Parts: sequence; structure tokens; C-alpha cells
Amino acid sequence: MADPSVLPWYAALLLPVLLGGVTWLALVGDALFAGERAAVAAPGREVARLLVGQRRRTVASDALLGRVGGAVLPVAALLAAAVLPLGERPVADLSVGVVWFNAMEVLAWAAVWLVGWGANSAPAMVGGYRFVAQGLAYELPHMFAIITAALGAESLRLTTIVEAQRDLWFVVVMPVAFAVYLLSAAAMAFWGPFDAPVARDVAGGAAAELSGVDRLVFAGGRWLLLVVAAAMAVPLFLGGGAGPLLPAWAWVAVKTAAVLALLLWLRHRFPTVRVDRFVPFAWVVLIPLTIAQALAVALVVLGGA
Amino acid sequence: MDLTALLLRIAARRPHVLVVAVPGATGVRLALEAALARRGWPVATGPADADVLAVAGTPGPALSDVAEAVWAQVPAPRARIVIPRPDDVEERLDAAVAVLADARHQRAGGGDRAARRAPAQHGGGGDPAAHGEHVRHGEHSGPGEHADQTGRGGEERHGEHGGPADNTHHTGPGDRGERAPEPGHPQAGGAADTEHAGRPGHGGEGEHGDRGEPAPEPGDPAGPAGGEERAGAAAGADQAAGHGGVRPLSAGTPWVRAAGGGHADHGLGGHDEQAREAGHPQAAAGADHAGLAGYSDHAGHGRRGGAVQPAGAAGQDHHTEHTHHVGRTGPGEQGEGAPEPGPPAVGGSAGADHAGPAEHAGHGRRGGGEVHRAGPAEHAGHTERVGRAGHAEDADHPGHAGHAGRGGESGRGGHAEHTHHVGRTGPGEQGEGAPEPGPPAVGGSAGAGHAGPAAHADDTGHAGHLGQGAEGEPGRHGGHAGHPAHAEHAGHTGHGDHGGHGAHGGHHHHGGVVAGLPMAEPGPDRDGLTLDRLHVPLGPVLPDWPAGLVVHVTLQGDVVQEASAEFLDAARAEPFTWPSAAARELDALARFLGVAGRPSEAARARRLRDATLAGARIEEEAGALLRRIRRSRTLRWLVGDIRAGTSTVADLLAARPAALEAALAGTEPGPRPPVGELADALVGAELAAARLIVAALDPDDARTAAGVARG
Repeated sequence: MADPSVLPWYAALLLPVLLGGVTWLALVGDALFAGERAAVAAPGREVARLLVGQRRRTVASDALLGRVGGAVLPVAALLAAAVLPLGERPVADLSVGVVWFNAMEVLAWAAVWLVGWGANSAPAMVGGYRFVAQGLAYELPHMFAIITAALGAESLRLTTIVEAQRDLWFVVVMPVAFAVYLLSAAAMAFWGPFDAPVARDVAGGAAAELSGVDRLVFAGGRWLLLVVAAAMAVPLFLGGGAGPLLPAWAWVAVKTAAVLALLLWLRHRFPTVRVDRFVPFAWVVLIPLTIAQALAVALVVLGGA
Repeated sequence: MDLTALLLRIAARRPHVLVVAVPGATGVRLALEAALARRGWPVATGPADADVLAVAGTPGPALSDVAEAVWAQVPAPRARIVIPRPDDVEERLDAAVAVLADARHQRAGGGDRAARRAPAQHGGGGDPAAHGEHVRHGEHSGPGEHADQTGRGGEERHGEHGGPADNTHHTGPGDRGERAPEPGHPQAGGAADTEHAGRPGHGGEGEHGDRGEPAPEPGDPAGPAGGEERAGAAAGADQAAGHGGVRPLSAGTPWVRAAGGGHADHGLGGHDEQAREAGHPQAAAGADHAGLAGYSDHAGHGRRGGAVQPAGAAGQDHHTEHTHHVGRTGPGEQGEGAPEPGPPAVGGSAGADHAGPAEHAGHGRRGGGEVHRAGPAEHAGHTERVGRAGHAEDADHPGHAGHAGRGGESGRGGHAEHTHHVGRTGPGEQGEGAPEPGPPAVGGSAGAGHAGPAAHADDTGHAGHLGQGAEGEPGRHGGHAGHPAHAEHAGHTGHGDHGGHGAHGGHHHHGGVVAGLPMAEPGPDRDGLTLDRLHVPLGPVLPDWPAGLVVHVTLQGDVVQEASAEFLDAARAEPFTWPSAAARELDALARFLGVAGRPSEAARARRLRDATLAGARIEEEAGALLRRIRRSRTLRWLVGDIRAGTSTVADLLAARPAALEAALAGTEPGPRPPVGELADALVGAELAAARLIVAALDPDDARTAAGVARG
């Protein structure tokens, strides 16, 4: 008794495959941005490298914590994607979809910190803590941004939010929220200018001691997170599958690719943001901005009602 | 279908390369970086991320040790190359690819799945963690595997090395390699083996392999020696690991070289060189010495294991210079100790240590039995030294000396060189002092952390070292140096003593040892809170980091509270003469951009650098790059609040393009902003800022102002 508002059950199985495919394309895209030779082959070679790579442990490491942390990343990303409308319908159309997404994405905090802590290594721990500090910086603006979208639709259900943008995309109504969302999407995947938790200056940070499959899972989870965060911008701000000619799923794909490309480009355009610079900026600039944005939207919604 | 072989071949198309830049051999580094860019091979962020360890230049003793320690941390599949001259780059890289793609070799070298399972064994064993390296080793291979690996690995590696220098080291090890074959064997196996035997986990596979090589006749006395070394190495590694940190952090990473790393290095490494160092007053940091000492001890063990005299003999071979200490020292005691304990004990004290309590006991006996002379008092002595030592070389040496002492009767001969040490020999005595096994337990305390109490006595010792070293606390250096020595001694000597030592270390500074690693000691932070402090070495193997630079920092959170900088093998390096001032500036700029997180621009700067070195005209492109950098408000904002000594990072960043333009125009560059000493500039900075400061100052061997600072 298929619920017409939800994708059939096997979509849950296809979801990881789909996300994996998109992630693979994103990897190729990033290699192209980086001007790598053999960009198309680079991800495959990297995956092969990590698959045959030996796992390693550091002295007195907490392997359980570290590995749990690494595994949480991709799992959290997949769970977050469950509420993502792929076309018109998601795998799970939760009434609190926005909150679900936010909850899953916050798991990354724990994941990265656990990986950094578990290795019992100074650079890894510094990296782990950097991510916690970065979380304190981006999370509040991020929550205000996505709540603003929910506010505009007066619902936490993602399909309803998409529905509410039939006439006008939220990116037009709430540009500040959209911009902040993009920043926080990069930050939650410790991507782009917000890659301090795994930066080269701390020898790879939280991932410094990971090798082989452990590194593959961690890096893969990070990429999945980035893809899911980029894809979530589509239902929240870009009208979901709305668009002329093409079917909804194609528009979702196109819009997701565009957001991803923007995020990839950002990485090559801006230097790594030091966390101790980002935190004051987030609290002094971004939070007031997003609150003001939410207030403006709230007033519009109230006025409309 | 051999899936592993297929994956290896695919992976070998794009390996990550970890570059160990040798001070003065900048030409090789430039050639290597250019080759990597041409091939599209990424530069690894650390050993965990590396497939190829490339030593650019002919490393001095200290850096050799570092390379050895780092190598021990590189997971299989892996290849190591030494590139003595710029012309060798392509050939060596091709050789690395061949090694990486060679499934048979990589399996032997520890990349095998079975090997990976080994860790489990560890776990079972009780407490893997304690062992630091052991653990690692464990993962690599089971004992049985060892044998193979060792043998082969060693040889192959050699091939890779090619470099003469390396050979030297290896030679010794090589023996081990061969020996390795009989891991099961307690005695025969040689200390190293023994250890392995005892603990499956241990196998210093990787290492073994490396060293392996010549080791022609396993039966050879030399063999054992080799074994010892390894053992040492292993131990060292452990330490390294241990050092790193405080409970939370130990740092298996590259940076760790000194404290932890240092040990490791020494251990692993080229004993030869170290030996020299040992004699060396200045030597690297105290930490290093410590490492050496540790090494020595290990060596000692090895021999023991090796069964008495042969060990000695062997030891000498390798050690030649260095070894003396080691070989002889250890052996002496060991020899004695060995006698009764029977195989197990013999098994290599080293092995013994690791293995189990029983073995320790063995140690204890030996130590105790024969040598009691030292006694606590001596220890005390050590302690003091330590305390005073500060960085002092003395401290370091003492440590060594200590070893010698332990070496016991036999050992001393070796000391001759070490003379210094000899004086200090005291430690050796300590070892003996250890008489009371009870202490071992203590040592164990330190050890406690380690696996079984007994187990790892050696480790324990190390642990102690680490601990001390790590936390060294104020006198960090001094403390470290000295302590390490002790610790090691402890290990070597009677374990009991060790215990004692360990205890000392621990008690003094820390207050606790977990898994053989010292706990962090608290200290006041800048906000008036009492927080843990970590002693972490930055460099010399870090991405975008000056060649050979090691900055020992005391971190609280990620804030640098104290710093001291040194260049490894500083006296040895001949300053590199840049053929073009513009290339020099572009190189520094690329490093800064890399640290600042602008990899694309950094790659561009490197490309321009290589182009100008090749004689191309780059004015236009360089102008575009500089415009982008100058226009980047984000970059300015990000570095805007960082002071660098008497200047600021922003000023230094602004001066760089100006200098580059002057170089391109053929005019004299303006004066660089005065900066003061590097170490001073780092105190109070957060880690990310500290990296930017170092990159902005870009000290190289020619214009370095190292120093010690604390805030």
C-alpha cells in the first residue's frame, strides 16, 4: 500500500548507490577544479589505493571510538539524505524533515571529534577540536537559515517546503539564509575554506592517523556529507524539482550539481578559514544577519496570514 | 584473478608521496616537487597518508633517524626512496612505482591481509596499546609472517634505497632480516625475533624489512645484533608514539619526531649515526638523545636475546660507532641475565620485555643478579642530571652513558667512544640496581600502562621516558633528555630499576602513566584556568615546512606556550645556492599559500618557480599571481591578527610579492621586516597561526634564528 507521497521501499536501497554516484562525480569535478592530470581516473585510483592500504593504529589509541567515529560520518549522511526529495518525493517524508536533517548532520560533530580523539595523536586531536569549535561557529547560523526556510513554508516537512516555493523560490525571498546555508554546508562537511579540521597545517588533522579503509570511510563520509548538504539546498531554497521541460528528478540533479560546483569552486577560491577567526565572525556577523532574516520572513508570513 | 594485485597496480598510478627534505639539498627537493607535479602525484600530509617516503637529499644522522621513524609509520603498500641528486628523481620515482605495484613484495612487506589481522592478536595479548609500536607492528604481521617479510622486505628495500648512506644502516638491520626467519625462536631469533616471538604483535615487520638486506648469514653473530637493533627500533617506535603524548595525544605523526618521534627515530634508525651523535654534545634535542639511549638499551636487549656474546659481536658491526654503546652494553648484562632465565628470558630481553612478566623477571634477575652496583642512588643521580640538564647535552649523554653502564661489563668497552657516557654509566648500574624485581612492578607502573606489567619492561622504560620527556615539564628538554635515558636504562637494566625510573619520571612530572604513556600535566593557561599541557615537536616532516626544522612546542589546547627551534644536522648542511632569487621567493610563497590553505595558488607558485628555474620568462604570470594575492581580502583578514616576532604575518606577506618583483626586475629587494627569533615569535600563537608564522618567516638553514622561548 504504497503511500503516494513516499518513494517505494527499494528506493532506500538505491539511495546509497545514487549518492555514491553523485559523490563520485563530485570527486571528478573537484579534481578538474584542481587542474589535476587524469582527473577522471583520480578518484578511482585513490579508492584503490585506500582499499589495499594497510590499516594502522597509534599507541594507546582508542580504536573503537575512532572507528565508530569514522563510520558515523557516512551513516549520518545517508540518514540525512532519507528526507531529501529526489524529484518530488523523498525516501521518508517525515513531518519533521528539517529537524531530522539537522540532527543527522550534527552527528558529524561527534564523528570527527571521535576520530580525532581516538587516534591518541596531537594533530588528530587538534583537528577534532577544531571541528567542534567550528561547529559552535556555523551551527547557530545554519539552524537559523534552515528554520527560516521552514518558517516561510510554515512546515518542517520538506515536501511542503518545496510546495511553498511553487511561485517564488526561497532563495529570492531569503537570500541571506541561502548564503549562510551554503557557508554552513561547506563548514559541516569541513570542506572548502572551512577545512581547518583536516588541514595540511596539522598534517591532516582529525584524519592524520587514518590509513587504508579507515581513511576511505572517513573521506567518503565527508564527501557524502558535502553532497547531501548541497542537495538539501535544493528543496530548502531552490524550489526542489520545479522547472520547465525537464522532469522533477532531472531538475533536482541539475540544481544539486550547480550547488556542488559552487562549493567546489569556493574551496579553490578562498584560503582556509582559521577557526579562531571564523567563530567571532559567525557570532558577530552571521547570527545577527540570520536572525534578522528570519524576523523579516516571519513578519511577511504573519502579514500574509 | 588477483584483486589485490590489480588494486595495487591501479593505486600505484597515483601514489601519495611524503617528502623528507634534507637541509641544504634544496635542489633535490625542487626537482622532486617538479616531478611530482608533472606526474600528478599528491604530496602526502603525513605518514598515514603516504605510499612513498622520499628522502630528498642525503640525510644527516638526525634526519636519518627521523626518516626511519616515519617509515615505520607508513602503512603498506609502501616504498621508500632516497634521492641523493636531482638527476636521480625520475629513476627513483619509477622504482617506487615498481615496488608499489609489486604484489608479492607488498604482501611480504606487511601489506598482507593476514598481517592486518595480527592486531587482533595483540588485543588478545593484553594490551596492545601499551606497546606503541608494537602495536603497530602487530598489525603488520604475525610472527610467522615476519619471517618472510623480514627476509625479503629487507632486501628489496635496499634495492630501493640505493643510497649508500642507507646501506650502512641497513646493513646492520639486514641481519635482522635474515634472522627474522625464525621468529618462533627465542634465542636464535635474535632479540628482535624473540620479541616477536613472544608477542605476535610485535614483529617489527616493517622495520625489519627495511633494515634487512645484507644480513648474509643468519647464523652470523651479527644477526642477533641486527635483531637487537630492531628491537630497539621497535621500542623506539613505541616510544615515539608514546612520546607524543599525553594520554590523549601521542602523536604517531610526523611531527612527533622529537619527543616521541625522536626516540623512535633513534631507535629505528641508523644507529651508526646516532652513535656519533651520542658522542655529540649538541646532538639534537634532549629528546633525541633520549631516543638514542633508549635505543641503546634495546640494542642491549637484543643481544641478550641473541644469546650472549654473539650479540656483542654483531652489535659492533653495525653500531660501529654508535653501537658500541648499545651492543656492548646491553649484551653484557643481557648475557648474564640470559643465562638462567632460560630461553624465554634470553629470548631477548627485548623480547622478554615485551613478552611477559616472566621475562621481565628474567630481566630482573639478570640485572639484579649480576649487577646491583648501581643502586637507587645512581638513579637519583640520573634524575638530577636530568633536572639540571635542561637541554644540556650532558643530560643527553648521561642518558647514553647510562646505557653504557648497563651494558654491563661487556658493554663498557664500547663506551670508549662514548666516554661521556661512561662517566654517567651510572645508569647502567641502575639497571643492576634494579635488583629488586619488585621495582619492576614499579617500572611497570609505568609499564603498568603497558600491557602486562612485566611485559614491556622496556617499553615501560620508554614510557617513562616519554612521559618525562613529554611532560618534561618545565625543563622539558633537560628533563626529557635525562629522563629518557633513565627510562631506557630502566628498561635495559633491571627492569625493576626501570620500574623505578619509570616511577621517577612519572611521579615527578606527571602523576600518572597510562598505557605506558605519560599523562598530561596540568598548567595554568592564558585564561587563568588549569589545563593540560602537551609537549609536541613540530617537524621536520610536515607539509610545507622548512627542511630540517624542528620546533618543540608546549601546547595547551592549540596555544603554543613554549617553543624552541632547531635545525637537524645544522652543522652538516651546506647552504643551498639558489640559482634565481625569484625562484627562492616563489618557493617561500608557495609554502605560505599551502599552509594558508590555498592549494591552487600554491601549485601555481610552484609551477612558476619551476618554470623560472628552467629558464622561462614568468613576469606576466607572476604578476597575475601577485595581483591575486594582493587583492585577496580574505587572506589579509585571515592573517591580520597574527604577530610574528617584531613584525606581523601580514607585513611579511606583503613583503614577499615586493621581493619577488624586485627579483624579477633584477633589482635589490627591500629589507625584510625584522623578525627576531623564530621561537619567540611562536609563543602565544595558536597552532594554525604558528604554522603561518613559520611559513611567513620561512627560515632556512642559511638565515635561521632558532631559539628557545617560553611564555
